[in-house]
Amino acid sequence: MTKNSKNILHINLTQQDYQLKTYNDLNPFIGGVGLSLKLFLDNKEKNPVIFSCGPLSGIFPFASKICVLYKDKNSNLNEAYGGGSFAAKLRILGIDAIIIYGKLKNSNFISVEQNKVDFICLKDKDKIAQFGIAGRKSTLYFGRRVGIDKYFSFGGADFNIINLTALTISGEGEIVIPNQKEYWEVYTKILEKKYNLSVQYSSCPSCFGCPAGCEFSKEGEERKIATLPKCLVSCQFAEEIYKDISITTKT
Amino acid sequence: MTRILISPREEKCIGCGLCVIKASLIESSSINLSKSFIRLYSEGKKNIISIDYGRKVDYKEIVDLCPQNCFEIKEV
Repeated sequence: MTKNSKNILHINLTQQDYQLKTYNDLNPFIGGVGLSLKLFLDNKEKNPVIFSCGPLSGIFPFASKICVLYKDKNSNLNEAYGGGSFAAKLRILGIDAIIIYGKLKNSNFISVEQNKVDFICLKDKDKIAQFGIAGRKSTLYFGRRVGIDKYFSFGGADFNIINLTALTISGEGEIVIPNQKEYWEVYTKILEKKYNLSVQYSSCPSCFGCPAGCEFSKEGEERKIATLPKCLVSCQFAEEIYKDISITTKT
Repeated sequence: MTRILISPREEKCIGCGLCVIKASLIESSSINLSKSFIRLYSEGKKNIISIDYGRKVDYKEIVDLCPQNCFEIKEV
């Protein structure tokens, strides 16, 4: 991935096939929801479910949500946001978005690694734990509600992917930081703005890159967030922090 | 005397991963979870902090960074 391109993983469930495509023309569409909408428009005949992370996910604090865009049962286009570490680890893996479409037939689990995607039939759900790198991976669990890393969720979002039980990303990959000193100065400046959060610090499990541990981390996001923070996939409670993005545009 | 990073208050860890990111940057000038000398095992509400003692780990900035004050540096 370079600054001028985006890597999109296409997963065709029906054919159990995948392609990692690099696009040079998607930068004007700032993820997650901006990028998702463009990808949905380009692939609408496939009726996909699209997961995308924002440009700051995994790199700067308080930008930790994964965006999902999908058509609900009434064919309305919906977006939802989930916490945990899925967005950050997707970004570290070098993927900006995953487009999933079709119907799984002979498998119920997908493992995404740096250079491959495996379609696996698991009879025992406990065996999901054996995929990905322990302590580094992140997993989406599909059911009545879609869960992330066995704690977080997309709130009441009513999307599902037929026959898919779980999707794990491995935890591999790397984001190279060219100027570490300058990067860390920006990082700590953003962290110092923690008092602008609209929630209290607590001791609940926190999203990756967020020190707040707020009591709302489990439930995902409602759509009450301003457009720019939403596109950066920051949290609705961190909206004030990312209203002034001048400190992040230096890097 | 050797100074090492320990996590005596691991039960307070909320899994934010700031220590993991910082440990990765110290080690590799990149965000790479495999190169970080701190690994977080998260299972629901429980987090386990694993520190790789095969390298220098006594970085005060990691102690200062943790929002839950999980770490300290100990002389052994």
